Amino acid sequence: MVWLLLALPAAIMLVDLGSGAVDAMDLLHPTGEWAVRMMVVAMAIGPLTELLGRRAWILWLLPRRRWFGFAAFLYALAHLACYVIDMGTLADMLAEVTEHGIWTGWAALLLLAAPGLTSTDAAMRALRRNWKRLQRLAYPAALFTAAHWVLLTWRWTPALVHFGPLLTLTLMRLWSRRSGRFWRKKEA
Amino acid sequence: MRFSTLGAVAAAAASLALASPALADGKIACRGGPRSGWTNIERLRQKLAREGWRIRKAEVSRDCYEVYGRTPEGDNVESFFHPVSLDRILILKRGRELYRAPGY
Repeated sequence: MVWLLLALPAAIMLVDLGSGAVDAMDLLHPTGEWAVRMMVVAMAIGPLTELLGRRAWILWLLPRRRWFGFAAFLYALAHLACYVIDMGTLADMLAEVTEHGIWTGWAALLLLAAPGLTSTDAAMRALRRNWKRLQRLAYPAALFTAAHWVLLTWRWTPALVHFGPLLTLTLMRLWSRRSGRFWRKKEA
Repeated sequence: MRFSTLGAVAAAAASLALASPALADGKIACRGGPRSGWTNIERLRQKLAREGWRIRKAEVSRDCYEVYGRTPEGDNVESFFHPVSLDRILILKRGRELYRAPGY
Protein backbone atom coordinates (compact mmCIF):
# COMPACT_ATOMS: atom_id res chain seq x y z
CA MET A 1 0.00 0.00 0.00
CA VAL A 2 2.88 2.35 0.69
CA TRP A 3 3.93 2.31 -2.93
CA LEU A 4 0.49 3.64 -3.86
CA LEU A 5 1.10 6.67 -1.66
CA LEU A 6 4.60 7.12 -3.05
CA ALA A 7 3.31 6.95 -6.62
CA LEU A 8 0.67 9.62 -6.01
CA PRO A 9 2.84 12.63 -6.99
CA ALA A 10 3.86 10.78 -10.15
CA ALA A 11 0.23 10.02 -10.97
CA ILE A 12 -0.70 13.70 -10.61
CA MET A 13 2.20 14.71 -12.85
CA LEU A 14 1.20 12.14 -15.46
CA VAL A 15 -2.39 13.40 -15.48
CA ASP A 16 -1.12 16.96 -15.95
CA LEU A 17 1.16 15.81 -18.72
CA GLY A 18 -1.64 13.88 -20.42
CA SER A 19 -4.00 16.82 -20.31
CA GLY A 20 -1.37 19.07 -21.85
CA ALA A 21 -1.33 21.39 -18.83
CA VAL A 22 2.42 20.86 -18.47
CA ASP A 23 5.26 19.61 -20.65
CA ALA A 24 8.46 17.73 -19.89
CA MET A 25 10.31 20.95 -19.15
CA ASP A 26 7.74 21.93 -16.52
CA LEU A 27 8.15 18.54 -14.86
CA LEU A 28 11.92 18.75 -14.56
CA HIS A 29 11.78 20.52 -11.25
CA PRO A 30 8.96 18.56 -9.57
CA THR A 31 10.36 15.15 -10.54
CA GLY A 32 13.74 16.14 -9.15
CA GLU A 33 12.25 17.53 -5.99
CA TRP A 34 10.23 14.38 -5.33
CA ALA A 35 13.31 12.25 -5.90
CA VAL A 36 15.03 14.31 -3.21
CA ARG A 37 12.10 14.00 -0.80
CA MET A 38 12.00 10.22 -1.14
CA MET A 39 15.76 10.08 -0.74
CA VAL A 40 15.72 12.20 2.40
CA VAL A 41 13.01 10.08 4.05
CA ALA A 42 14.76 6.83 3.13
CA MET A 43 18.06 8.07 4.49
CA ALA A 44 16.65 9.71 7.62
CA ILE A 45 15.00 6.55 8.95
CA GLY A 46 18.37 4.99 9.89
CA PRO A 47 19.65 7.86 12.03
CA LEU A 48 16.17 8.38 13.55
CA THR A 49 16.09 4.78 14.69
CA GLU A 50 19.46 5.13 16.32
CA LEU A 51 18.77 8.48 17.91
CA LEU A 52 15.20 8.03 19.09
CA GLY A 53 15.01 4.33 19.71
CA ARG A 54 12.31 1.93 18.68
CA ARG A 55 9.25 4.12 18.63
CA ALA A 56 6.11 2.75 17.04
CA TRP A 57 6.16 5.02 13.98
CA ILE A 58 9.83 4.28 13.37
CA LEU A 59 9.17 0.56 13.61
CA TRP A 60 6.46 1.04 11.02
CA LEU A 61 8.79 2.98 8.71
CA LEU A 62 11.86 0.80 9.09
CA PRO A 63 10.77 -2.18 6.95
CA ARG A 64 9.34 0.26 4.37
CA ARG A 65 12.57 2.17 4.01
CA ARG A 66 13.42 0.30 0.83
CA TRP A 67 10.21 1.56 -0.79
CA PHE A 68 11.28 5.15 -0.23
CA GLY A 69 14.77 4.50 -1.55
CA PHE A 70 13.45 2.76 -4.63
CA ALA A 71 10.89 5.52 -5.17
CA ALA A 72 13.74 8.04 -5.03
CA PHE A 73 15.48 6.12 -7.80
CA LEU A 74 12.32 5.94 -9.91
CA TYR A 75 11.63 9.67 -9.52
CA ALA A 76 15.25 10.32 -10.48
CA LEU A 77 14.68 8.22 -13.62
CA ALA A 78 11.52 10.21 -14.36
CA HIS A 79 13.61 13.35 -13.88
CA LEU A 80 16.10 12.00 -16.44
CA ALA A 81 13.27 11.11 -18.82
CA CYS A 82 11.97 14.69 -18.65
CA TYR A 83 15.48 15.96 -19.34
CA VAL A 84 15.91 13.65 -22.33
CA ILE A 85 12.54 14.63 -23.79
CA ASP A 86 13.22 18.29 -23.16
CA MET A 87 16.68 18.22 -24.75
CA GLY A 88 15.59 16.08 -27.69
CA THR A 89 18.96 14.95 -28.98
CA LEU A 90 21.96 13.16 -27.54
CA ALA A 91 24.23 15.76 -29.13
CA ASP A 92 22.50 18.52 -27.14
CA MET A 93 22.88 16.56 -23.93
CA LEU A 94 26.55 15.82 -24.55
CA ALA A 95 27.18 19.46 -25.38
CA GLU A 96 26.38 20.51 -21.82
CA VAL A 97 27.54 17.46 -19.88
CA THR A 98 30.60 19.35 -18.63
CA GLU A 99 28.48 22.06 -16.98
CA HIS A 100 28.80 21.74 -13.22
CA GLY A 101 25.04 21.91 -12.80
CA ILE A 102 24.64 18.96 -15.18
CA TRP A 103 27.43 16.47 -14.51
CA THR A 104 26.64 16.55 -10.80
CA GLY A 105 23.14 15.32 -11.69
CA TRP A 106 24.52 12.53 -13.85
CA ALA A 107 26.92 11.53 -11.09
CA ALA A 108 24.11 11.38 -8.54
CA LEU A 109 21.95 9.25 -10.82
CA LEU A 110 24.77 6.85 -11.66
CA LEU A 111 25.56 6.44 -7.97
CA LEU A 112 21.90 5.71 -7.27
CA ALA A 113 21.72 3.15 -10.07
CA ALA A 114 23.64 0.44 -8.22
CA PRO A 115 21.58 0.52 -5.00
CA GLY A 116 18.44 1.22 -7.03
CA LEU A 117 18.82 -1.76 -9.32
CA THR A 118 19.62 -4.11 -6.43
CA SER A 119 16.48 -3.26 -4.47
CA THR A 120 14.89 -6.68 -4.87
CA ASP A 121 14.79 -9.33 -2.16
CA ALA A 122 16.77 -11.66 -4.41
CA ALA A 123 19.55 -9.13 -4.89
CA MET A 124 19.55 -8.44 -1.17
CA ARG A 125 20.05 -12.14 -0.41
CA ALA A 126 22.65 -12.62 -3.12
CA LEU A 127 24.76 -9.66 -2.07
CA ARG A 128 24.55 -10.33 1.68
CA ARG A 129 26.76 -7.90 3.54
CA ASN A 130 27.77 -6.16 0.36
CA TRP A 131 24.16 -5.08 -0.13
CA LYS A 132 24.45 -2.68 2.77
CA ARG A 133 27.75 -1.36 1.41
CA LEU A 134 26.15 -0.77 -1.95
CA GLN A 135 23.27 1.11 -0.31
CA ARG A 136 25.77 3.50 1.22
CA LEU A 137 26.39 4.93 -2.25
CA ALA A 138 23.28 6.96 -1.41
CA TYR A 139 25.48 9.26 0.70
CA PRO A 140 27.73 10.52 -2.14
CA ALA A 141 24.62 10.51 -4.34
CA ALA A 142 22.92 12.86 -1.86
CA LEU A 143 25.94 15.19 -1.90
CA PHE A 144 25.97 15.34 -5.70
CA THR A 145 22.20 15.85 -5.73
CA ALA A 146 22.46 18.81 -3.38
CA ALA A 147 25.25 20.29 -5.52
CA HIS A 148 23.21 19.69 -8.68
CA TRP A 149 20.26 21.57 -7.19
CA VAL A 150 22.20 24.55 -5.90
CA LEU A 151 24.41 24.92 -8.97
CA LEU A 152 21.40 24.95 -11.30
CA THR A 153 19.14 27.28 -9.38
CA TRP A 154 21.40 29.24 -7.00
CA ARG A 155 18.60 29.03 -4.52
CA TRP A 156 19.87 27.89 -1.17
CA THR A 157 16.67 27.79 0.78
CA PRO A 158 14.78 24.95 -0.96
CA ALA A 159 17.87 22.73 -1.04
CA LEU A 160 18.57 23.51 2.60
CA VAL A 161 14.99 22.79 3.65
CA HIS A 162 15.30 19.33 2.12
CA PHE A 163 18.86 18.36 2.87
CA GLY A 164 19.31 20.30 6.12
CA PRO A 165 17.37 17.85 8.29
CA LEU A 166 19.17 14.88 6.74
CA LEU A 167 22.55 16.50 7.24
CA THR A 168 21.69 17.36 10.83
CA LEU A 169 20.47 13.82 11.59
CA THR A 170 23.50 12.24 9.93
CA LEU A 171 25.90 14.45 11.89
CA MET A 172 24.03 13.74 15.12
CA ARG A 173 24.23 10.03 14.45
CA LEU A 174 27.96 10.21 13.79
CA TRP A 175 28.45 12.26 16.91
CA SER A 176 26.39 9.95 19.09
CA ARG A 177 28.33 6.95 17.77
CA ARG A 178 31.63 8.62 18.49
CA SER A 179 30.65 9.46 22.02
CA GLY A 180 29.46 5.88 22.45
CA ARG A 181 26.08 6.75 23.83
CA PHE A 182 22.74 7.43 22.31
CA TRP A 183 20.65 10.46 23.03
CA ARG A 184 17.76 8.51 24.37
CA LYS A 185 19.85 7.04 27.14
CA LYS A 186 20.80 10.46 28.35
CA GLU A 187 17.26 11.73 28.03
CA ALA A 188 15.82 8.83 30.00
CA MET B 1 26.63 19.33 25.29
CA ARG B 2 24.75 17.22 22.81
CA PHE B 3 22.05 19.78 22.39
CA SER B 4 24.67 22.47 21.84
CA THR B 5 26.08 20.42 18.95
CA LEU B 6 22.64 20.34 17.43
CA GLY B 7 22.32 24.05 18.08
CA ALA B 8 25.63 24.73 16.37
CA VAL B 9 24.57 22.77 13.30
CA ALA B 10 21.23 24.56 13.20
CA ALA B 11 22.93 27.94 13.62
CA ALA B 12 25.40 27.14 10.86
CA ALA B 13 22.59 26.12 8.55
CA ALA B 14 20.57 29.21 9.40
CA SER B 15 23.49 31.57 8.89
CA LEU B 16 24.28 29.92 5.58
CA ALA B 17 20.72 30.59 4.47
CA LEU B 18 20.74 34.17 5.72
CA ALA B 19 24.27 35.07 4.66
CA SER B 20 23.50 34.71 0.99
CA PRO B 21 20.68 37.16 0.29
CA ALA B 22 22.33 38.08 -2.99
CA LEU B 23 21.99 34.49 -4.10
CA ALA B 24 18.72 33.93 -2.30
CA ASP B 25 16.81 33.82 -5.50
CA GLY B 26 19.37 33.53 -8.28
CA LYS B 27 17.12 35.32 -10.70
CA ILE B 28 17.05 38.97 -11.53
CA ALA B 29 15.00 42.16 -11.42
CA CYS B 30 14.73 43.61 -14.91
CA ARG B 31 13.17 46.87 -13.65
CA GLY B 32 10.59 46.62 -16.40
CA GLY B 33 8.18 49.21 -15.00
CA PRO B 34 4.39 48.93 -15.26
CA ARG B 35 3.10 46.18 -17.48
CA SER B 36 0.97 48.58 -19.48
CA GLY B 37 4.16 49.93 -21.00
CA TRP B 38 5.63 46.56 -21.95
CA THR B 39 6.35 45.54 -25.51
CA ASN B 40 4.37 42.55 -26.72
CA ILE B 41 6.22 39.29 -26.02
CA GLU B 42 5.61 38.22 -29.61
CA ARG B 43 8.01 40.97 -30.69
CA LEU B 44 10.69 39.35 -28.54
CA ARG B 45 9.95 35.96 -30.08
CA GLN B 46 10.30 37.40 -33.57
CA LYS B 47 13.47 39.30 -32.71
CA LEU B 48 15.15 36.25 -31.23
CA ALA B 49 14.03 34.01 -34.09
CA ARG B 50 15.59 36.47 -36.55
CA GLU B 51 18.83 36.34 -34.57
CA GLY B 52 18.87 32.56 -34.87
CA TRP B 53 17.48 31.49 -31.49
CA ARG B 54 15.41 28.34 -31.14
CA ILE B 55 12.78 29.19 -28.57
CA ARG B 56 11.25 26.50 -26.41
CA LYS B 57 9.31 28.70 -24.06
CA ALA B 58 8.79 32.44 -23.59
CA GLU B 59 6.90 33.77 -20.60
CA VAL B 60 6.59 36.57 -18.07
CA SER B 61 8.75 36.11 -14.98
CA ARG B 62 8.03 38.89 -12.51
CA ASP B 63 9.24 42.07 -14.23
CA CYS B 64 11.17 40.24 -16.97
CA TYR B 65 10.48 38.29 -20.08
CA GLU B 66 12.02 34.89 -19.58
CA VAL B 67 12.99 32.71 -22.53
CA TYR B 68 14.11 29.10 -22.50
CA GLY B 69 15.82 28.07 -25.67
CA ARG B 70 18.94 27.67 -27.70
CA THR B 71 21.15 30.58 -28.63
CA PRO B 72 22.60 31.01 -32.14
CA GLU B 73 25.86 29.76 -30.56
CA GLY B 74 24.12 26.50 -29.62
CA ASP B 75 23.89 26.94 -25.86
CA ASN B 76 20.77 25.77 -24.08
CA VAL B 77 19.91 28.70 -21.87
CA GLU B 78 17.47 30.32 -19.53
CA SER B 79 17.49 34.01 -20.39
CA PHE B 80 15.90 37.23 -19.19
CA PHE B 81 15.00 40.21 -21.32
CA HIS B 82 13.88 43.72 -20.54
CA PRO B 83 10.15 43.76 -21.28
CA VAL B 84 10.21 47.27 -22.77
CA SER B 85 13.47 47.52 -24.71
CA LEU B 86 13.72 43.72 -25.24
CA ASP B 87 17.44 44.00 -24.46
CA ARG B 88 19.02 40.92 -22.95
CA ILE B 89 19.61 41.26 -19.23
CA LEU B 90 20.82 37.85 -18.05
CA ILE B 91 21.68 34.61 -19.80
CA LEU B 92 22.23 31.44 -17.78
CA LYS B 93 23.46 28.13 -19.09
CA ARG B 94 22.47 25.50 -16.55
CA GLY B 95 23.07 27.91 -13.73
CA ARG B 96 26.30 29.33 -15.13
CA GLU B 97 26.19 32.97 -16.09
CA LEU B 98 27.02 33.56 -19.77
CA TYR B 99 25.98 37.18 -19.87
CA ARG B 100 24.78 39.88 -17.53
CA ALA B 101 23.92 43.37 -18.71
CA PRO B 102 26.02 46.14 -17.13
CA GLY B 103 24.30 47.56 -14.05
CA TYR B 104 22.13 44.49 -13.38
